[in-house]
Amino acid sequence: MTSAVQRSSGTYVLATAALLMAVYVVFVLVVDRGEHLALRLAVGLMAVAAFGLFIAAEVRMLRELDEMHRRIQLEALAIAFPTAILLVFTLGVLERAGIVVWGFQRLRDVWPLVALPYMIGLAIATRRYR
Amino acid sequence: MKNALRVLRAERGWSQAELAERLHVSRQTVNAIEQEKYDPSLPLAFKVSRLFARPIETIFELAPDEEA
Repeated sequence: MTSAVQRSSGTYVLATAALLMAVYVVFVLVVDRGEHLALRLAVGLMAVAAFGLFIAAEVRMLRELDEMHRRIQLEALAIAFPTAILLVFTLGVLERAGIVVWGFQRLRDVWPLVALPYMIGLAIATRRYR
Repeated sequence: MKNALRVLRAERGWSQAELAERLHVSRQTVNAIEQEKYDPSLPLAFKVSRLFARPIETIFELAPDEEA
């Protein structure tokens, strides 16, 4: 594993993340404009496929990491996974209690928030070995 | 775990990046090992041992608080 290979994998991850966000924005626009069901479904499935590409890029990057960076990823996920569940749980509790958190009224709005604990976990784990 | 990686690297005049290249790890990993923030796996410790042609126990040793 070299830094150049890592950079290449990192670029691929960023590119697929950008593609995912772009397709998702188009999907939201298509839905908002009330386009035909077939078009909504087609663009929606393209967003799902883009997410698949993003996951493939992540896995490729993970396989090219050295042992310490794999450890960092493991620790980041160990922090992120229960924290993400806690976030969704908290939103669910608030919703059941009758308190609606602006921007997260529906389950479909929550998924971008789940990435946040991973970012925090990654920052904590990276700092530990710096 | 304590280690003599920084001293051995300095003896050969290698940068962290050069050592990382020889061990097929990142420079950050070499830095973390040198700062004793990360303990290498056994395979990586053996690679270090072979690279410097020294027995593994002369490069790595348990810190007093790690002794069972």
